[in-house]
Amino acid sequence: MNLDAKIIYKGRFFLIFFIVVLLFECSKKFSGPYPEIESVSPSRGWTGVDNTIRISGSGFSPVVKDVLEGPASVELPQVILGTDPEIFLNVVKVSQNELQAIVPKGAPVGGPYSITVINPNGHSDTLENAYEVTANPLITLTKIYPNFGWTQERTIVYISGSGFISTPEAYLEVPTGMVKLEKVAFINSNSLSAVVPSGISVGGPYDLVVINPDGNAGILEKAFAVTQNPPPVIDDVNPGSANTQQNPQVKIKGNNFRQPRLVLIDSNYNEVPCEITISSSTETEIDATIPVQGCGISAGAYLLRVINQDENSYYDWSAFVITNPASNPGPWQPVGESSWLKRGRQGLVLVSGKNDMKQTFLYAIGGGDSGTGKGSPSQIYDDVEVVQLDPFGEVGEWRINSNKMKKPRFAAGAVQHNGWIYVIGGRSDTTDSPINDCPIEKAKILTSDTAPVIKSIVATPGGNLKKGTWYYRVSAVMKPTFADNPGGEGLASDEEIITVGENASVTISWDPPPVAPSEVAFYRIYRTDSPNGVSGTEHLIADNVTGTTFTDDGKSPGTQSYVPNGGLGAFKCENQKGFIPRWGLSVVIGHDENNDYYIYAIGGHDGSGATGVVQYAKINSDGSLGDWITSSNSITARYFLASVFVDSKNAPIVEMNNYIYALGGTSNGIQPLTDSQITSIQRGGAVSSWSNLTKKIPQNMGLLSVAIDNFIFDMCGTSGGGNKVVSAKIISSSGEVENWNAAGEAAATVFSRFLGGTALESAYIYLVGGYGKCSSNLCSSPTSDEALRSVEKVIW
Amino acid sequence: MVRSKVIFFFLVLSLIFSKSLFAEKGGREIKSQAKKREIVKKSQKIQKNNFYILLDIGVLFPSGLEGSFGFDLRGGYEIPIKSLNLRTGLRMGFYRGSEEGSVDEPAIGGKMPYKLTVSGVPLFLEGILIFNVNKIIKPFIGIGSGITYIKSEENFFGYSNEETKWNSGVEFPAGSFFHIKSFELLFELRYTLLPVDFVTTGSTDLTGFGIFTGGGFRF
Repeated sequence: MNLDAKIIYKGRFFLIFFIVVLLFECSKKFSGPYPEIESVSPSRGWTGVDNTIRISGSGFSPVVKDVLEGPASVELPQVILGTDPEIFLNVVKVSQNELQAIVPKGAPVGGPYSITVINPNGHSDTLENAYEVTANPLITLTKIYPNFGWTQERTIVYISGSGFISTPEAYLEVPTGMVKLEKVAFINSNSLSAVVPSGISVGGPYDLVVINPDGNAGILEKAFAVTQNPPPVIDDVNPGSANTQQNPQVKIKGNNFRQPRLVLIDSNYNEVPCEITISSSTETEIDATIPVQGCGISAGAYLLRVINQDENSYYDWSAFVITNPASNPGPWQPVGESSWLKRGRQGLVLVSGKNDMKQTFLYAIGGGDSGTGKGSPSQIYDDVEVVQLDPFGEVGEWRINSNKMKKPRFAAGAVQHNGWIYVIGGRSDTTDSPINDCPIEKAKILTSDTAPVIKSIVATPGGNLKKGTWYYRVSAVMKPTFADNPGGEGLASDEEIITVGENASVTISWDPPPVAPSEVAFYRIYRTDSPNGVSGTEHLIADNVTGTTFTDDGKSPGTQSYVPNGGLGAFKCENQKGFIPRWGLSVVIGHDENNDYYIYAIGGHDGSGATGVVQYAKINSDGSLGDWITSSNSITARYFLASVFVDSKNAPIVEMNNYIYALGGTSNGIQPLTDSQITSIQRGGAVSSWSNLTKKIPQNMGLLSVAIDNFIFDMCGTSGGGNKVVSAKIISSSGEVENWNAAGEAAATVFSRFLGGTALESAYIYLVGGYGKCSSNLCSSPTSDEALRSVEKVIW
Repeated sequence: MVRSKVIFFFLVLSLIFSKSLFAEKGGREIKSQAKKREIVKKSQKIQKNNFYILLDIGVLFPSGLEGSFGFDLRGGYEIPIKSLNLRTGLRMGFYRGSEEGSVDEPAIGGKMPYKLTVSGVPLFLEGILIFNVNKIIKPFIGIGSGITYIKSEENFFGYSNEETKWNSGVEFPAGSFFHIKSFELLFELRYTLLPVDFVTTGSTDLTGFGIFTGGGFRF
């Protein structure tokens, strides 16, 4: 072959090669993690709702696709339910060890079906017999209360039904999908509370779905509406009560009243069949007549509901109280032992308060043990117990507040104002010496914005966490410079729940509490003690955590619990300038004609004996106290007395006057007094000279007192007290009272209580602790005299 | 689609090459013995240095990838055609580039970073027409085709996923040689068409220009 031929030969070969290689293409290979499914939880779900399932395992690997073609996006692993035909589930959450996917409403009943996970790299794993679709709901939902919320505001709701298991998830089915409710709390198998988030599309009513951890679910159709306009709010109802023989005209003050209608709601949340006539209404005020007698409404506590008829949004005022004509409270109702104090306390103080979500709480502060007897504790407590009340006043379970007082306090006084609780005076030991160092301290009822917000929780292989479901919370401990909660712990975050495989670790990250992100000193991490635990039982697993991420590789839990809703921030010493330390004093909050509020510390024991000193301090707008001013007008020297503040709200008869009554007590610790004195509050907080009431109370000390609806009640105590309740009616604007009358056999308290605590909240008078014993056949096993844990209440 | 276009383009180009370069010069069509002798003479003259070997390095600017680089080892045979020289040879190289970014996906907990690294090992047959401007400067244009082993490795979500395949491609080099005796320097601008369709890359071309420089010798 000559050279030309060679060139030609090579040239053709060159061309052929070009064409061949263009046609050449091998098949692609995609390698990467292999998914492994260990378990699917829950293992069943009702076909009537969308069900979220958690697939635990390893090797779940999303990839970023189209990086060069753009736009880059994430391709998630696929999850297939092995029905016929197969259903590709919507994957909503992915970690390396857990997938969450939604089995759609209407999935064919049957199974158990297989679950298959396919990574984008094509590798897959299948768990046979993994998930069953059931035909019938095993949760019954009967009610959500309230049944609406404003789109611009979070709404606390209570869900009633049956079959709840701790801790369900709850959803609203809106047109765009399922909206998960926040802070779902398991109260019992018939009751949940939750928070509907803001920002949900106006409309509805939307279906409510509740799903138990085991996958059983229930639905309440057309349960919850979201309104365009703000709902009405009632700030005040005056009068707030009536007796069964009255048809009172009431003035309702508030906001956002639009085409209002008024109804009464009973404790079963049923509307009382009674037409309430509205004589006039504006956006902030309603005048109406409630025909209590006309409708034959029986005594009890009712919610007064104002309904805006434009969107049927409403507000329930808790509570409008209907009493017996004689205003005799009773009968007293003992609260179940599960709702008693955690420990017996005598010489405690009881106050009530609300948090920013308008949930109501009682606070049992300090006190002492049984010791050597009545008024003589051996151990004095520095802690506070907290309990939540439901809208009809039912008492929940008490918890010890994690933030304790600076000082143990026995026979102190306390008041609550604008979310601050002030504790004043008392003694810390068994001597007669009052607390001189930090005699006054205060703490704030924690608001929801003190809680961190968990933003992610991820499980990873490696660690000592056992397989199962774990509950986590995070709380923030603030810097000492943070005025509202100096060095104290805030509320814990919403619970986050994660299911892990064997030997796992969990990493959580969170945002700082909105109230003051820069004021956080460190964080605390709480977790359930064991897998598949119970909601709300988390204990401390890590303290002093800096940063906003934490990995739990299976740390051992301690015994400390997080601060629950209604918890108090750190106590701090408050202005004591001018204050004369003493214990056994009585403390009330009152206001002058300018509506400036003052704290009054009345009488007490100053270490050397009974004193009649009366002091007051102004409450400033930031919650701080002004200097203490000693009034030139003293009472009869005494301690273990009671006092009440009276104005036109709790005693319309006094008109524009503001009075303080000081009742009973002792001058020597032995002999109870009958002294009953009254003074009026002057502009600027000063009190006028005390005058003796013509009608004195029966001899009593260590007594409790409240003022309601023109009546003053003297309860319990000793000598003339015990378990007795007497009342006197205020009969003139000068504050004079009629004879003190025994309120009747039905009004006797269940327990005798000396130095107990009392609080008036809505329709109920609560009695808590004290020294005594059960005096009623209502007690299945009568107790001996001791520092009491018991709680009782009465509709007044 | 891109692949079809490339094939069509190449077929047309092949026909042109066939007619213009070889059909006229085919053994049966050579009529002039004088011309034949002249060619042989030229060939013999050129055949003194008609093998070459070349090493080059360069940077590439394929769409989407940042910081790509590569190097090639080339070798082949050069023959004269009229006033031109035609080089045919093989090119084997290694290219690598990466792309970093982040994606925002609520299902994985929000924004998360990723890194995609694409590497390739091409084996190309190339044809280059060299214009003999003078003894030193030798501009050229060319075309090449071959196969490339492509690997895409993505690090994301704590995992590494890898895709591989053999794929065909085509390239269009242009530039100039600079001859200094038996040595030569190279400056080349190369346009490469290399389609890929990995999940991670998406259906796209690793197409783009590259600038290379290198040196070698002829023997």
